[in-house]
Amino acid sequence: MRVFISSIQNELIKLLIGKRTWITLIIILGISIITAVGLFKENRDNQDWKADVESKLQSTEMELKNMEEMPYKYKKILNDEIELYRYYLEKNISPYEANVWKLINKSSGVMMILTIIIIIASSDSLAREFSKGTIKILLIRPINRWEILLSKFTALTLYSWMLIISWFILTLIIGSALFGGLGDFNIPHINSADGEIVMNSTGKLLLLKIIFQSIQILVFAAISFTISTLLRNNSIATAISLFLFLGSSIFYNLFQGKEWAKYILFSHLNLNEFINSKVNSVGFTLTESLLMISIYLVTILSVTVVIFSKKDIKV
Amino acid sequence: MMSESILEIKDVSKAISKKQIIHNVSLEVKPGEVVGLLGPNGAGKTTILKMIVGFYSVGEGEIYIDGINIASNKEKCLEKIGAIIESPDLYDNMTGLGNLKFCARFYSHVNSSRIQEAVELVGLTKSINQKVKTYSLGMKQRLGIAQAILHEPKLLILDEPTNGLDPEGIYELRNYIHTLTRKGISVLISSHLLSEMQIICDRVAIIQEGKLIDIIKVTTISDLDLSINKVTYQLWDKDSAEKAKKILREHNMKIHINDRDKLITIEINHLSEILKLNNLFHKVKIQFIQVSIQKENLEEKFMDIVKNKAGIQ
Repeated sequence: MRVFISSIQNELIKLLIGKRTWITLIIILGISIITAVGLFKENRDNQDWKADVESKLQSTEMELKNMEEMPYKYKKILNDEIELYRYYLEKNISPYEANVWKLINKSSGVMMILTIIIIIASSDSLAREFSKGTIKILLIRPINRWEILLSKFTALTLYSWMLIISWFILTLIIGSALFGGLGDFNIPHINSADGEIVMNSTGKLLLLKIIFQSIQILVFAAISFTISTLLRNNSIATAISLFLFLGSSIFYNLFQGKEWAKYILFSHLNLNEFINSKVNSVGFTLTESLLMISIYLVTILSVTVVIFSKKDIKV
Repeated sequence: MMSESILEIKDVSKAISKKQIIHNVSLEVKPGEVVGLLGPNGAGKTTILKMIVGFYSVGEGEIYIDGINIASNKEKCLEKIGAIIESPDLYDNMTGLGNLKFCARFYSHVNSSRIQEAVELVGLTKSINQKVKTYSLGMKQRLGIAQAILHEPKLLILDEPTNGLDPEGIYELRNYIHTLTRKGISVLISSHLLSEMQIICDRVAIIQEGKLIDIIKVTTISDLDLSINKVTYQLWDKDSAEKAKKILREHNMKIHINDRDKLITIEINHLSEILKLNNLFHKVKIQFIQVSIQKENLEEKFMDIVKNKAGIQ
């Protein structure tokens, strides 16, 4: 166990001293600042929010009226917007009210960039050791091959959490400075879907998003790590994993409606579905979806460990 | 129970991609002994070493490290081995010390004073806090050795350790090896250079086409005529090659030139002349990649002895 923990420490050091970490932190900082300034300006420029919302309501209603032959999908979007504007006016809630939690929620698109960075780091993790020959340093140490793999994967998981926490703290600091304190954690996040108004606490919504997105990062890290371990080629692993990540919703739509589709991994990766619903689009509860993801994760990693442990290492 | 041999290879065979690479090799290394694996490139030396360190599974037969079968407890065996296989592979973006600390974390008994001891032994004290990417090949080789001996292994495995080293580096390496053997560490070293083996090893195992042809004591080799008569420098670039030609002609040295490969062979009478040449090149800033020493017909003479012993015509 001591050797395993030391190995995790070593892997974390390798990840942290790389240029990638600094570049990622700069990107995170940039996005947080831009989002913060945007939100601050929006809040400042819309002190008379009621007039603004009323004008938006009128123009949207006009648009809907004038374009009767528009596609149903577009009509639905406009109807949802109208419902939302009416709700703001009726309940006297400003859509431009901003605080730290709203800022962090708005900048949560960073998680997508973090997923891509973790995919690249996972592809590199073992394949790079082979291309540089440094795998030999690891293999001649008194550590099992499965421990080498699992310590690498554990380090990647911890690394992704470190990046997420860094984004969270950086945005929290920027937001607190700009908005003068933390503000209300439960500031409402209002959405309109299928003609119904859904109101959530922004803070709670944010935490759920972070947890769900972390799970998704973990899955794509495992996929990327497995491909790179089996093929020992980081470019191919990155390309395949990014293709799967960016196209996951397309794959899901492709197989939607088929009975077996509910058992494929991609049907369960959009955990955000559970924010407003007890079951996802394939009828699974959160627990069932998490169980499915765990089964896939364990299977993927087990296959990698077994193959890596048995193969002769040619470097 | 104490084992008599640190390394025991028993009837080991290995096939890779259905091709038989190693055939029934048996070899023992005793405590404090330096044993060489000698053979041409592709003879199977590295394959044997890779089986000992567990990169390759043992096809047939058994390998014991200090009495423990590597197939049954590889991790325990690896605690007793230090190795450089093919080249010292290091993390370039870490410092020398960072690399050593990285390896030290795998062993509970390696502390900072032991790291310092290893750094001093290989003479890297001044440059240990520099990033490895700034190191010369010789410095990397020394750091590789420090990494390999950090945990005080019972068996040190060195695969072609003098590759890329200048004569001074080779001399230093020999000294490290002798220092280690005095401490009871056994060394298994592979090379295709007979001259190197003769200086470093107690016994040499001759490997050819994956077969162990013979194991001979170095005293047998010493009977041969070992007078050095040629040294070849591979120059860094055309400019250095031109400079070298000019200066050697000025010193009336007998030289042979291979312009295409930037090789200059110089006829010398004594080993000490190599150091003089190195100093001369250093003084006028001539950069070279590699130096090799040739002993006329030594390899041929040696192989004749081996062939006679093995009854090969």
